[in-house]
Amino acid sequence: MFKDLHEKTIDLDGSIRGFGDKRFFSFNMVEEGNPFVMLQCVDDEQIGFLTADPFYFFADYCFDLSDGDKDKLGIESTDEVLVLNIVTIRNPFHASTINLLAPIVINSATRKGLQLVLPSNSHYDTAAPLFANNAMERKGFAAHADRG
Amino acid sequence: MLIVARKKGQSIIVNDEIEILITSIDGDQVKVGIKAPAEVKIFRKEVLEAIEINNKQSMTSMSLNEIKKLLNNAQSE
Repeated sequence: MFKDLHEKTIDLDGSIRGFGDKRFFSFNMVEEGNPFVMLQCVDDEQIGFLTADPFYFFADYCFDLSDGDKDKLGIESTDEVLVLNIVTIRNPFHASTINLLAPIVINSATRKGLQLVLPSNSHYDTAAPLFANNAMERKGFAAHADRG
Repeated sequence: MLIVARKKGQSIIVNDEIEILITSIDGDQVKVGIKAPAEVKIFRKEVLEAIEINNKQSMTSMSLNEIKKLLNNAQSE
């Protein structure tokens, strides 16, 4: 599913709060098998977000998709649903956090996505430590960077 | 902005489908009940502001290649 979207453009329809005029983002997997995806704004390359597959780091992460959001995204089956959460890069990188309260839900068939805000009773954090469960130590996340 | 004074127990109806009810007033805290169709999303303002702030803090101008290098360096620490 991630592969289907690699290097394609997705339409987030201005749903990234604070970036309401930004619609189209290119979806760039860091590497196959790596949970990180770079979303880069098509009309302003200075605007990008490092995102990650939340389930790689938090196996129990879950939330309901309302009927309204399902309709907005045109989702007909769970197979089409891809979730990414925005990572706040910190120094050192191991101190980085992820916003579990506002997932970006993407319909991989239509390439439309929305940043959703989960209800307050979900108790998820906007800055959950990414490496709390030592996922990286177990699985690794190095990527092959191009030379230069 | 419409400013309306309400006493406890009084309501405001928005767009014929959302009802805002003042359920209690206790010193400087007002409890507000909101009845709305399921598809209407209701959030405390500060929650949405926190997400906007987090998005802006997370925005990066790094290129994909720079990100790959960052991840590689972090992995080898």
